[in-house]
Amino acid sequence: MSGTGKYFDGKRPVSIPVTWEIQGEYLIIHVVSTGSRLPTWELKKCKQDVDQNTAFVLKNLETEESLEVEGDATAFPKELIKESKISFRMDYFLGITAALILTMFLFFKSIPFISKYVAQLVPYDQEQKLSEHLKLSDLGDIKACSPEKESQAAFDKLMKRLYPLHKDDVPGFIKVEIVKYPVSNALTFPGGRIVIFDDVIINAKSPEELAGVIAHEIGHAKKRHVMQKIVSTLSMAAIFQFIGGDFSSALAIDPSTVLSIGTLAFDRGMETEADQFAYDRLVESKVNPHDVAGFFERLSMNSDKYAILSSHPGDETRIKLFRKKNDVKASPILNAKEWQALKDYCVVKPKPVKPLFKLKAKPKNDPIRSEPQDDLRSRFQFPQRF
Amino acid sequence: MELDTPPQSVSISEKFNYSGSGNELAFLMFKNILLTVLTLGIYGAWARTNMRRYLWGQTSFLGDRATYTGQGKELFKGWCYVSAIYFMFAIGINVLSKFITPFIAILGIPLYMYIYALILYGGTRYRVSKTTWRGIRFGVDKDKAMTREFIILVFKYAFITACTLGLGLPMLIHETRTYLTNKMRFGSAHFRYEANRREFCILCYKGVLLSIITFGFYLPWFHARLIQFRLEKTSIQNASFKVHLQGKDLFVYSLVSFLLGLVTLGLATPWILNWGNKLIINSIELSGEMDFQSIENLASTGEAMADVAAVEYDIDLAF
Repeated sequence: MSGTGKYFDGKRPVSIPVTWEIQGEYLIIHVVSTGSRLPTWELKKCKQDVDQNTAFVLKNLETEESLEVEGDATAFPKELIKESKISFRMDYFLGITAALILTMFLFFKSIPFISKYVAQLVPYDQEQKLSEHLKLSDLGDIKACSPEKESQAAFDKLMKRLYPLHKDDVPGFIKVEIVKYPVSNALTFPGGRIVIFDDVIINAKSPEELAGVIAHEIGHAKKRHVMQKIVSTLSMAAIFQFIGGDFSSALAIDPSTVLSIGTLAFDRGMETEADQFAYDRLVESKVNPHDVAGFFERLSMNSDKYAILSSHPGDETRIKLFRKKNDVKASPILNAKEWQALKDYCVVKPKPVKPLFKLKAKPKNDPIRSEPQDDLRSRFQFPQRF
Repeated sequence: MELDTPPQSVSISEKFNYSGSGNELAFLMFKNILLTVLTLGIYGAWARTNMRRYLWGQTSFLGDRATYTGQGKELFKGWCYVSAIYFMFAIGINVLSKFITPFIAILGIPLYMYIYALILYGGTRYRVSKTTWRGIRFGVDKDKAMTREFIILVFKYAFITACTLGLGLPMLIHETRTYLTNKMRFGSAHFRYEANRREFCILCYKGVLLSIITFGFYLPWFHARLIQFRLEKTSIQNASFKVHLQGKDLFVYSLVSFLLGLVTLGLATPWILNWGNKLIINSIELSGEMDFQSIENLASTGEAMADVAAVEYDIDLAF
């Protein structure tokens, strides 16, 4: 077992062509130019220098000398050869890929479970603090409605039927805002903050239908779905960024991130859970869930036009749930007048303008007050609005 | 034992040679990515070491290849420290966020510059000290006085940069490079960096200005000129570097690599990287008189933590 190579004495940067020979546990090196023999190396006291992938370099640990072997290094004891040259191994490739896929699968499957438990550990007040920094205006041209007294009273009455009902209903945790935005949708943000777009009220045919939508959103808030989403989305993003060596993922939790996550759809499981919650809450509130089923039936006919439907359970499943037989002794939430006031929640009623001079004859109908209402009615009438 | 060695002082005029292969690099990168993802980032330290070993090992001069002697476990240890410090810092900022006013944030800038200086010095030192050629270690001199001197230098030119709204940045780059290169050595032979600060600043201002005017088309020429300037002002013993790299070469490389990256959705990266290494390394030449017999091997150490921090925070060590 012999060959050629380059010898480095570890003291000076000189490269000396040598021949080498393995004799038992020893390595004998001869200088090519002079034929002189260098001190013998004990192979046990040598190690392979770093993996070069293209050359086998043996280092004498006692003297810092090294030998770069030219050609095949298989003559050396196997325990000295730590790493092989780079070569494509199909079995390694397939094994690594399979392990990677399995790890990823388990990782993605376990994240929702873990986040469900982690979300429960976040105190309510911390969740509310997170919500305080959210600005809806960041989502687009969204304006909070300024309702008349009657509209607000009607809405408060509706909410009183839904929340709080139980001991674990933290008073003041749920805060519902109605905003003007031409999309039939409702969003739940951290800290029990629910945002209802006024199109939902306009398209609802009864207070019970609106109560159903709000109860559904309360379900998301009470079940901590938003926190679950925040935990799962951020932890996934953080882990992937961390793998890539970006430590800034530790600072990822800021209001804008939360806002963008808050606008993402809940998953199917969360929606089903919120539907079930809504059903139970309506029954407890003495509101007949059958009345809500009508709303979803109408939505199902226009499902492609409603943002609220995305990722929700199948229409049939959902309608079936709300149509479930019950023995609720329902009582109406609002009377007709109150419901009308609630429908006008976002209707802007201009303040009466003081006339510069008195008109001789007062018109029968005030065009300023009546026109916008009629106009909005017709414009937002279901389903033409979509 | 004295060896019968080549003549003591030799006249050389030799180009560096990069012999890497795109296929090998692709397999190495693919394996690194897979294992890094599989181990949730832990393998990253070994992946980086593997890459450096490959790239260093493929670079040879006078027929002898360079060697990277750094180890994955060193970088991993550094990675753990950097992660721990970063997370503690992140938690500290969150906890103290109520008390952090813009004024206090401004006071944090000197702290940042201090850390930047330490990373730049330490990171360069680690990478250089883990490089050997013909069994001789490269190194960067460093002791407490030198570190203090370097930190003061960084503070001085960072202050000038801030006062001149960024115009002083080339000065900061030039001064730090001059300091570090002059502290750099191959065995016992020190490198010298003899560049004119004014000349470097003019080169940078001209490069930036022309790049803006030409919507970035001048950038390859600017980069080629920068590489040339930096290396051609560097010498060791009586030999100096020459760079036979032209702007048009880098332009073609940039254009083709951009298009290839786009068409292959990034899969061509290893081949692009390999081509780039070949283009630049093969264009470097060292010529002059070298007395190898007078060069002794010296001990070299470096802090892996600084190297990790330099990589994580994208601090260009330019070595």
